[in-house]
Amino acid sequence: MALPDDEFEFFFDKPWSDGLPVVIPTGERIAEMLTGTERDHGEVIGEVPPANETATVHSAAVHAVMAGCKAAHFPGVLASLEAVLEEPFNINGIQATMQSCAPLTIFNGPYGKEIGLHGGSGCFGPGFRANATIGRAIRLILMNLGAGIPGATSMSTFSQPSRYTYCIRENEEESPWEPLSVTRGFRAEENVVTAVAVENPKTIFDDTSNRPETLLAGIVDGMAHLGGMNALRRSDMVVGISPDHAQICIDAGWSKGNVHNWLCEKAGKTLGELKTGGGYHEDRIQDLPIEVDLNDDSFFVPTMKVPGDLIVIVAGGIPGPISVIMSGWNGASRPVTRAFMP
Amino acid sequence: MTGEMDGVEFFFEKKWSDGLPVVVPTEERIERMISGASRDPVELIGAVPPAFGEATVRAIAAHAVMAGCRPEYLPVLIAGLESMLDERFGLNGLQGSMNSSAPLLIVNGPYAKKIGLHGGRGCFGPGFRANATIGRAIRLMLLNLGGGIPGVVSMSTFGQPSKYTFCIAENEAGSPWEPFSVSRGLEAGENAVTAVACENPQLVVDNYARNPEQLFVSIADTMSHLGCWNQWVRSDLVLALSPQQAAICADLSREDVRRRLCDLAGRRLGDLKRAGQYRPEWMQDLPFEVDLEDDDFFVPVIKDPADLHIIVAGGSPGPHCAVMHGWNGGSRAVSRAFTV
Repeated sequence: MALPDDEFEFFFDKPWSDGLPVVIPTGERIAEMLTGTERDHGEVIGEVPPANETATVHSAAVHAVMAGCKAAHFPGVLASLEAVLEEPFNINGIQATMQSCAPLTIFNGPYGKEIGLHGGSGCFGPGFRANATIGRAIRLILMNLGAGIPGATSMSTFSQPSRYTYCIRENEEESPWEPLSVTRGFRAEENVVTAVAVENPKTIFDDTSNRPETLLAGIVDGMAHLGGMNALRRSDMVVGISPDHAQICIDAGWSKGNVHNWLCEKAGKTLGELKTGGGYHEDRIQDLPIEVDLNDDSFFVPTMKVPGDLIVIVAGGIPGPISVIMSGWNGASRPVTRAFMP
Repeated sequence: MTGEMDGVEFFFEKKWSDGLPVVVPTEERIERMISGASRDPVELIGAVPPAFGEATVRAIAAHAVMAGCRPEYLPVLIAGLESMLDERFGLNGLQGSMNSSAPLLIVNGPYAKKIGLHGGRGCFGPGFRANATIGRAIRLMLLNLGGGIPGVVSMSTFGQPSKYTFCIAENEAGSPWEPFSVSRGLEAGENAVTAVACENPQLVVDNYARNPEQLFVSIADTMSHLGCWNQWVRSDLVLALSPQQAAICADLSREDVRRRLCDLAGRRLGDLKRAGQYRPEWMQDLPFEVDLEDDDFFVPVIKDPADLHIIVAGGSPGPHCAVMHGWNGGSRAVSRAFTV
């Protein structure tokens, strides 16, 4: 058994541990972390629901130390936290839900590249400290300041591995299209973070297609499955297209907008197909922001009820005949994009 | 900076770091970890491909310390690694793959409960040390002993979050059926691990289904999509039913559920032909006859029913299932019993 004098054990015994070892947040380490920002240490970032403990620059720094961040990563933690705490994001609901979604943060702009935040090969997996620790700092804050603890306030049936950490950069260098930040109304040279509540990535493998129409048929099919919240509700979705797949589109002259529109038009099920599943309920269809004739089983119900809810980014590395789909939550959260000063 | 911080930073700077802080593997901590298993520290468990670093009990213990394990987790970790080093598992290919699959460990038997390995609410996510650190120790060994480093050996286009850690117990108490390990041919009451190479969990939400046939519609639809490997080649697939969804199926056996889902999940050949990934030669390689001229031919997503692994996991209430698609067919799930 562990000795009581092993300092790592102290944090493991707390109910708000994520189950992995933390760096002990000594005064010295916190002071070092705070050198990563020029902001006042006492500045309030916000309250973290549902426990509503106050997140200050200082308490965020404590969690950044514990997560394993470097001081250079700290502005990324603060920017992510500010996005997640914006009201439209509805972190209160996400903390409690029986579903599994986690806040994914996507960075655009020069800061992410400078600190080694990775958008290329393997970006959703281990091996990249900035990705791993910025995402983890957010999770520790959600657990510790927000009490989003499994069985306490989090009722997630399964939870999901991306609740450990879920932070990437868009692969701007290998993208043929304008960055997500520009699509969402910011300037390309600005540092911008987007937070969106989604499920784990699901991979769409296609190393045979050489035309957008057949390539996107696989993505469209993966978007529309009956188990996802998007099938019967208005909700967000993120599609991460690899540079190789994006190239197939650009070679055919397709802009990001063309791809976006195609996915929104083609992904979906007929009303008759939706009715066969146990999750179908007339009220759900009537609540949609589109007019559906409940007696017309051939009516096509798109997966994306509002095209603006689909976020298309370029991510992953070369070679990569793979794209990924991240399905949304129950519709009660809206993605938040904001610029920040590192 | 204190000495400990320097130690933590030392490991961060290594190519084989997972990007998170480790517990520094001092001699004292490694010795304490070794005491968790009654195995000879110099015993060789195997060599981890493709770099073939040797996993002795002592080397495994060092990674267990780094990951944050308690000593009593060590027997599970050794058994988990042994199952992944079984030739049938195909770890060498998995380490280099462009796909994102990660080895999921499913643990059955009394020992999992004893050490707090969790199969209930939130089992795939943070908050449970045994789950988090056993899975992470596996990953650290795949990186460090096996050299499965992104961009060096691992060509995974996206990686996936479950490559940090992917280890659960089956929720045996919430299951209407015999333990999963028993369905794999092991004895009831035996401690057992199953390793299977799969993707992240994808949720199937259904809070209205009141009978199995209603419930199976969305599960079958989620199992079969044109972007997954299972649609094209023979591969494993893990389906986790929550206790609430399993209860809907309680009048059926696990085998009944498996057979029915194998019948329901799939696509017409004509639908497959619409996708860019369609290749006639793959259809001809399947373990059953496909008429390539018959677009109405139903191609099941599960090519051999033995490849569909149904477990019960997650908490109550919870109107959810989780589908984990398999890798490219180069791996077979491996189950083995272990003693403590």
